[in-house]
This record gives sequence, C-alpha cells and structure tokens, in this order.
Amino acid sequence: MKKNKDFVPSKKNISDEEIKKQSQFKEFIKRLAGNKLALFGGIVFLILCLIAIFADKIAMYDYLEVDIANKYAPISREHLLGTDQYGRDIFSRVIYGGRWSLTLGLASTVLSTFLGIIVGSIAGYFGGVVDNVIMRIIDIVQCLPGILLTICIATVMGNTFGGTIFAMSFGGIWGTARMLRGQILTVRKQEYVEAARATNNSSPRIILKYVLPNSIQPIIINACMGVGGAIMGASSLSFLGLGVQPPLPEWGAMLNDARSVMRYYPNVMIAPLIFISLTVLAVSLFGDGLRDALDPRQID
Amino acid sequence: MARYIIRRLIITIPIILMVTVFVFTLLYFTPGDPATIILGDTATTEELASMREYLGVDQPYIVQLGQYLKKLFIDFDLGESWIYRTNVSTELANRMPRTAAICIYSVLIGALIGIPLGVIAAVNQNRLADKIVLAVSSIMTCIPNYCIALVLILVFALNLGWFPAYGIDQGIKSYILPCISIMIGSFSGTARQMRSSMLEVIRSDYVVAARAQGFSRNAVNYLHALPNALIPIITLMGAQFAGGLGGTMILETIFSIPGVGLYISGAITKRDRPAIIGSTVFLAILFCLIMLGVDIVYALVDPRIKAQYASAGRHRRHGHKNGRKGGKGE
Amino acid sequence: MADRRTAKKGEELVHVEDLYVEYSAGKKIVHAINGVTFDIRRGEALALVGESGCGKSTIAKAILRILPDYGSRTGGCIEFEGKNLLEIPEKEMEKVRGDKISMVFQDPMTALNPVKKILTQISSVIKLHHPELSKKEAEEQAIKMLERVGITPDRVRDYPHQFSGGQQQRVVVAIGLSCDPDLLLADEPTTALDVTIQAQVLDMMTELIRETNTAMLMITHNLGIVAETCDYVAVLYGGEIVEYGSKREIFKNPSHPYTIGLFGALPDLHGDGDRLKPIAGVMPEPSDLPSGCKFHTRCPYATKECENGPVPVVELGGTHRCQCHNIEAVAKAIQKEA
Repeated sequence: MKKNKDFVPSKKNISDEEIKKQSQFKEFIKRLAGNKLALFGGIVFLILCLIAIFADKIAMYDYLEVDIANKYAPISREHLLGTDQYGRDIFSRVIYGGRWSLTLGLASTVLSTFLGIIVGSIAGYFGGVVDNVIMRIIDIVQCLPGILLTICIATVMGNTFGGTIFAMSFGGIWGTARMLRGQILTVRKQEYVEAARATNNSSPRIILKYVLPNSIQPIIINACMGVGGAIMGASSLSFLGLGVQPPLPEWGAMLNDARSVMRYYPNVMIAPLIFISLTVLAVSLFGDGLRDALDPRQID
Repeated sequence: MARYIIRRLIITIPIILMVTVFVFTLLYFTPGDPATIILGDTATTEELASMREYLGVDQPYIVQLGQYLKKLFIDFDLGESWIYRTNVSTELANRMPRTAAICIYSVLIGALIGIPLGVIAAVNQNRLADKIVLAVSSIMTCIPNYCIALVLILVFALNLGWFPAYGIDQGIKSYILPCISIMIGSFSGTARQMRSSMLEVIRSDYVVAARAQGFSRNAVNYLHALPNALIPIITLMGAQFAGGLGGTMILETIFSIPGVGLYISGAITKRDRPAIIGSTVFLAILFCLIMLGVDIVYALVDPRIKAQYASAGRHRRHGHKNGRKGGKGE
Repeated sequence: MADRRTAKKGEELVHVEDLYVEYSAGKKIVHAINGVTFDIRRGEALALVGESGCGKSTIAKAILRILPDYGSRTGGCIEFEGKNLLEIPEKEMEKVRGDKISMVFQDPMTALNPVKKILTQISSVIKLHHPELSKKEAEEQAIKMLERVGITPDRVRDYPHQFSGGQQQRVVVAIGLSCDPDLLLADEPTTALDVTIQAQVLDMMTELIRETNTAMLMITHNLGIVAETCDYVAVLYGGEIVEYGSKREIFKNPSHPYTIGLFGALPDLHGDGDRLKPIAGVMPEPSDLPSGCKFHTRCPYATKECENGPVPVVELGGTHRCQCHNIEAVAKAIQKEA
C-alpha cells in the first residue's frame, strides 16, 4: 500500500468532533437557556413550586381559618386578596392550593409516564398475545372521552387523593405506552439490539440498556407537555366536586366555591383563576422550549 | 373505499362491546349499595332487598353483565335510569341536540377563526403578526375552558346582562357563552396547528418548486400550500369535536344546560349506574363514528391515503394517530 | 421562440457577476456565496461541481430569486436579457420563472405536489405562462410534453405517489421544460435516483435540451455526470469558484488543489489499484469560513501566503482560470508524483 503523503488529516477537525460528542448535554442546556420564553416559563414554574412548598412560611393565615365576622373582606393589608364567604384569607388559600394542584398535576404525569413505559415495554418487547391485549385496551380507552374516564375511575377509587392521582394518570398511560411500543418495534429490529440478544442478554436488560435510552426522548417531551394538561385536568375534576374535596384549597375547588358568589364578589374567583392559568402557561412554555432544545430539528 | 368503511364499522362492534364490559365492570365495583343510594339511609332491610331484586343487582356479576349486554346488543336498549326511572336512550336522544349544537358550532367557528389566523401567522413568519397570533393562542390554550366560562358569565351575563348566565330559556342566546367558552380553546389550538402545518408545507420542495415555476407568492401560498396544509386540520377538528363532547360535562354544569354532559355528571354524582354506562357507551359509539368520519374525509382529500385504504384495509389507525392530543378534552 | 432556435449557439444568455449570498441564522451570518462570476451561453451546459454544503443549490435559487425571504441577502448582478434579475420587480420575475428559466429539483418525491394529478401540475404551469391557451389546449400540450419525457398518456391522470422515482423525475423534468425555457437549472437531478435509472433520466434530459437548444446549469457532485452532459465546468468551494474552464481543460489539466483532490477521490478502473485519495478534513462551516484561500485549511500545498488576503485568479489560457497562489508548485508536485 502506497502511503498517501499528500493529504494529512488536519487536526482541528478531529478535535471538533470530539468536542461535539462531549457537549451534547451542554449544547442542550445552551439551547434551552437561549430560549427566553422557555426560561421565563421554567422560572415562573419554579417560583410557583417554591411558593407551594414554603406556603406555611409565606401565608399569613391558615388555609382553614374561618372568620365569619370578616367574610368578603376587600383587599387590604391584612388580607392581600380579601376573604371568601367563610372569611378565609384568599391569598393564603391560593398559596396553599398550589400544594394540591401542583402535586396532582406532577404526580399524575409521573405516574402515567412510568406506567406507560412499563406497559409499552411489555407490549413492544413481548409482542404476540400480550401486545394484542394491550392494544385492544388502548382501543377501548381511545373511545372514551378523557374526562369521563377519569371521573369514572375517580368515583371507583372513592375520591381519595391517591385515587384521584391514579384516575388522572390512567388516561395518559396509553398514549405513552403506544408511543414506546412503536419505538420498540422499530428499535428491536435494529442490529445492535439483535447483537445484544445474540450475546445472551436478558429481555428486561435489553429493554433497559438498549431500547429505552433510544426511545426515552419523545416520552420525556410528551410528559413535559402533559404536565400543563394534567394540572388543568386536576382543577377541572375538583371544580366538578370530585378529586380534592372542600374545604381543602385546591384551585379548582376554590373556583367551585367562588362560583356561587361571583356575581357580588368576583375577587374571590380571580386569584385561583389566575394561578391555574399562569401555571399551565408556564409549564407549557417550558415544555415547548424543552422539546425544541431536545429536538432542534423541529424548530421553525 | 366502501369496503373499507364497512370493515371499519364491523371492527367498531367488538370495540364497543369491550367498552361496555369495561365500564360495566368498573362501575360494578364502585363502593356503595345501589338500593341504599336510591332509597336513602332510612329504608328498611326489606325495602332494600326488594329494591335490589327489582334492580337486578342481587344477581351475580356475570349474570348482570350478560343481561346488560343482551339488552344493549340485541334489543338496542340502553336500559332505564335508576333515579329518574326514564329510558336512557330517550333521555340521550332528547338531550343530544343541545350538546351537539355546542360542540359543532364551537369547533366550526373555532376553525373559521383559527385557520385564517394560523395562515396569517405562517405567511408572516417571525414578523409582528406571527408573534401576536402565537402569543394570543398560547395564552388562550392555557386557560381551562371552565375558567373562560366563569369570566364570560361574570362579564357578559352578570355585569352586562347581554346573555343569560344559565339555562336554555332564551333560545340561541343561551348557547352563545357556552360556545365561546369552548371556541376560545379550539381556535387557539387550530391557529397553532394551522401555523405549523402551513409552515411545513411552505417549506416543502413542491411549494418552492411552484415558486420556481412562476406562480406568484400569493398563488403559491393560497392555491398550492393552503389546501395541503388544511389536511391535518381535519384530524384536529375531529379530535376537538370529540374532546368537546367530554368538555361539555363541565360547561353544561356551569351553564345548567340540560344536555348529555349535565346528564352524565348528574348520573355520576347520584351513582346512577345504568345512566352512566348508557351515556358512556353512547359517547364511545359517537367517538368511533367521528374517527371514522375523519378517516373518510382524509381519504377523500388525500389520494395517497385513499390508495392505502384501497390496497389494504389494514391501516385502520391511520388518521387519528394524534386522536386525543389535539383536543382540549379536560 | 423561433428566434431563439435560430439564435447562434454560444451567444451570452446569463451573466452572473460577483454574486454574494448571505443567510443570517440566529446571530451567525452564513456566507453561502462569496463573489461568484460566470457566464452561461445559449445551448451550452455549465456544470457547478462541489461537495455538499458548498453553495451549489444556493446559486440556482439566487438566479430564480427563490431563496427564503427571511434572513437571506443577495448582492451582485445576474444579467439576463439585458436586465439584472436581482433588481427587476417581482411581477416581472414571475414571468421569468418557469417560462424562461426553470428548475429541476433534487428529490422528485418531494418536488411534486402529492395531492394533485401530474397532468394538472404541468398544465397549470403551461396555462400560467400562456394565458391565451384554453384549459384543454394546455392539457394537450402537457400530455405532449409528458410523452416526450416518456410518460404514456394513459398515466397522466395519476398522482405522483403512483409513479416510481425515475418516472417522477421525468415528470419534474417535463414541468421544467414545459414552457420551453432558455435556461434549465438542474439541481442534482439524479442524486435521489437508482444508479441504473440515473443514466436513463440524464440521457432523456440532455437529448431534450439539445433538441430545443436550451442552456443548462447542471449542479452536481458527480464528475461522471459532468463528463457526460456538460460543456463547461465551474468548481465551487466555500462559496467561490476556485476553477473554471471547458470540460476538456478541467478534465485534462485540473489545476486547483481542490479539483485535483476531487479527481483523486474518483475510483479509477484502469489504475494500479491505489486506494482512493479522499480530501482530508471536512468542508468548513459557511458561517465560519477561513480567511484567505477558503481551501487552505485542507490544502496539502498551502503556504503562509494562502492564509490571508485575496487570492489571485490565474488565467491558464482558453477559458481556463484558477484561483490559487501556488499553481506552478502544485503542477510540479503533481507531475513528480505521476
């Protein structure tokens, strides 16, 4: 073989390649940080979470503290957002309300994603009868209005907090499961998975080590985009009198309380309304930004 | 194509059967004794026992399920409500027009507003108009539609008195606020979807090619790109309509509109099992038909999909991959 | 049209001078084309050769003014029929596009509207540029055009997805030639096709443009296609023409180190089984072009001189010109090796 002395590979380009590999995560952070709207959404959401966590430090009153003599108090220094029909401090209730609303939204998304991953992995990896059964369940769930399904399950679970979380996550399991199943069906045909199987790896190990890392990205994106919807759903449920029950200050439940008196005291309604919308907006801005940062091809 | 439709309809039957079994089982295990729910705590043991016998709930699960399925699939009867003692089918038939009106009008008007907005945004990408449309629609999709409903009631019903706050006594005026509540969500969703699908089409080679062939910018945008960009909107509208059916549960409660949604939420609070199952099965059938309709319209406008259907009837999930995502169902 | 047929072959048709194209992508400015000058004469075919990313397609799109409006800037002059295409009003430009200058895109799968019948797609272009024709006449003409590219009349009412890739590209070529243009811009017209089909489509295309005395700008990275179809060659690197000449001049006597590298990367069936000599490194990012000669980062003959300042264009006799500091040294080195 004649030595090719004319063309020496230039060093700069090779090191460039190496840098690119190392900094994929950095690149992702940079893209996310460069997206001002996403950053704004993330920070707002973080603040809302902190407010909820430290509610007992911030709120001036207990969320259950009734003061009938002082009902419908206007906005004042003592009551930043006034009081409701039982004289409870609205500001404190809204602050505490975040605990229920955010927990419901986040927990149900995490649970549905987790269950979705398990169901999807089972369906995609084992195929055959198992897959068929799961796909039929998906068919069924797809034919039911989401909120109706959630309400039915919440009723069966007896309207407990945990039951509500499960009921809300139930509808979301199947979308994730089907997406992951599709991904697995594609990935498992790839040669590196065949190779892993040929070298006697066990099935769960293959799913964990080879299949999931390759299909997790859309699932994360989906979950982040779903948090907003879940928070909205949680508040709708409480608004209907299911899920979190009064007198707990979940935002939807507070709105339901306020509904009967909104003609004369609209300020009772405004605060929870703004908090719900702001949270959903913040989460969805952050979710959009996360999607763009993870998958830059989709950016317009 | 006709064969495909028939295939799809036949496939729907076992799905509905499974939905029925699923919901029946779910509700069977709901805590609480039906007889006590109906008669209250004061009823005597004998009264309760005779009530249970009358309702048929003293039978084992499998017998009850069998009876219900027989009634539904052979007699096409959704049963009788425990609370109101009326036939569920009749009740649904009476109430459906109101619910359908809200869903159809809000989705249609939402599309009529959302599509032009999306097109304007896409054509003026990154300019002011685009940013305004994006901002407005992003914010609007983040407000739950019951919150919008509450604000609308507060402003237009209670303060201005233009529309009634509840009920359907004032004819078409009664439907305007509920429609707007759903429509605001649906037009924002449509505008966003329209914008991104229009951008995708505008960037595709055949649209650039049309420019290269000498078509003016407007001709390219509106004659070449727009029709193709509208195709995904069909799916979205189907999903919005289906989602709206669920969403009316809340809105009809807020506005006290005696539609299907109010019926279901009432039935759920009162544990009226036959009414819940009946309405759920009814909605499930409606869902399946909407999805079929979406797929058929899809095939009519996109020859590629029609060819797929013609060659193999197996692509039955095609059109509604995103089935439930687009709609603001919750 | 008749006057064009009789027009002398070799008369200047398009004169591109000092063409610059920049895109802004975020904060980066992408220097896609940096001062490109060339002519295309009637009935002749010019090949633009270069690696992907060197700005080949951008030149074609700049000539037709169909670069994305948002964030792209074009400078210089594209003279056609005595007018600068970059300055005429949009309405006038629309009459040029598709009628006098038309384009064939790379991927026929995406260049045809998926939901329109191919007949409609062609006849609408014909009708656009010949409003005097009735719909029926336009369709007849479209059918004739399709027959010329080898699509039988019984298939003209089919949709694009019903055709194979090669047939689709025939349809795209038919659309490009439907209004009998003076200049056809072919942007890698066969890259997306199977090798066996490539030759068929290419033969069909070259035959048609020879028949009609149409000039062609062939954009390709395939030197085989250049050899088969073109009269002149412009080698593009980093948005500049580094070497230009007739096909014979370039193929017999490649002078720029990059051109030499391109030929070195071709397999040679008659050779002694040497390994291919790939050009080292990768094309620099157009947003981060080196100063001086754009090729010096990869050039085995680069000297200090190459790193800064403008690079002289050396005339090598005939139409042959080359943009390089060290032509003689390069030529010597090549001779020694041979």
